[in-house]
Amino acid sequence: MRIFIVILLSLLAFFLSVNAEKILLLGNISLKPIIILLYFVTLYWNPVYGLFIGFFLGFLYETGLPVLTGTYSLLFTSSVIGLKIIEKKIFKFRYNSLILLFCTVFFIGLVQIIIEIKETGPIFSVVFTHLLPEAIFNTLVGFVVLYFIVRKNR
Amino acid sequence: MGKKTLRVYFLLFCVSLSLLIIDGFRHGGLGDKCYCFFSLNFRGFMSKVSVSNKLKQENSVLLEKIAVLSYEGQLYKELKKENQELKEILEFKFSYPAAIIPAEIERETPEEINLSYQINKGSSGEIEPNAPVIGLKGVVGKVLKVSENASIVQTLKNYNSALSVKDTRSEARGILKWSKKFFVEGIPQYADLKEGDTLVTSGEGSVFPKGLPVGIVTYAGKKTDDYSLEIEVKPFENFDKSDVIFVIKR
Repeated sequence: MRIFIVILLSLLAFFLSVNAEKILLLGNISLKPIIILLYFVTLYWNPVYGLFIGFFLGFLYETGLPVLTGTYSLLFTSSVIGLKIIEKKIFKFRYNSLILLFCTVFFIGLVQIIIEIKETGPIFSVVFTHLLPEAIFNTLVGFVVLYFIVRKNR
Repeated sequence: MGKKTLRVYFLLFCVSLSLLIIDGFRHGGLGDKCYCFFSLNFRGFMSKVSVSNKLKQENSVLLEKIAVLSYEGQLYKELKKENQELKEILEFKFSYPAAIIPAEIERETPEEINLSYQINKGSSGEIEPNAPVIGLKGVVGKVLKVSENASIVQTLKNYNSALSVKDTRSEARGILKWSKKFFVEGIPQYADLKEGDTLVTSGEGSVFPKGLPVGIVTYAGKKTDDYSLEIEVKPFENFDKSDVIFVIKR
């Protein structure tokens, strides 16, 4: 049953990130449902699911993008492991743990810019005009998700 | 972190890396992309540096231009001043058709009490002793000593100088003297002399011709222990700023 839920959620996240990215675009920042899914599955459910989701969604995500095959799989699975390593240092049911989600979105966004060689302008201005706002936006969405998780666990 | 998680990660990591390497060999390599990214940023940085250098060069050129313009502005002011002075001299010459000899002050006497000038004209320039000397605005003094190429002018700002003056309005006469300030002696209390009256040379004493402007009365009051008026005068000629003076040929 859990496997089906994982697959369903992954497909939903993939669908949102690929097809509905333009709809969810806010200025030049967008929602990153795959990263949010990876974050919550890894920290609040099972890191192995997180790894598999990261691997397969990475594969799916990079099709059609001008990157080498395996790049996003590597990036997502490494992010999952990174999250798992840092997990012990935070209390994940507190809202301030969302700083980790903020850092993950920021880090993946930065790597994305580097590997896709986007024509976004100088890297330092991109940090302030694109990466930071995007990380804040996704953290706010993560806040809502965490709210429901915390409510459920009471 | 569980061993299971690590094993899974290691497996997935290896698969992803293998795919990456295989694809990298097929499509030109990851290194090219990294190089591309860093070269793009480096080029952007270098272009900014070159723009900055260009601006610096432009700035230095503009600073030089400002310095030159500032110098030219200063020069223009000096020339304007000189032009004004020459104009005054010219107008002065026209207003005094009598024979006058222009002369430049070479130096002033160092004494503060008795001010004298050394001028660049002497007997060779037809200068004679006791010749009256005037400036652009009024009487300066008289020639005291004459050598061949230089003369000494005793100004009114001298303890020994005494100039006969008269008031242009009331015709009251007196002797202008100097003792740390200019004053007029010998004007009786009943004389009608007021502040703002103009004093000119009276022509007495056969040194100065009649009617040369001398100064303006700044104070006129009665002395308590005397029967004369106490008169203070401000001369028209500024003795500190004189450069050119004129000797009237007798």
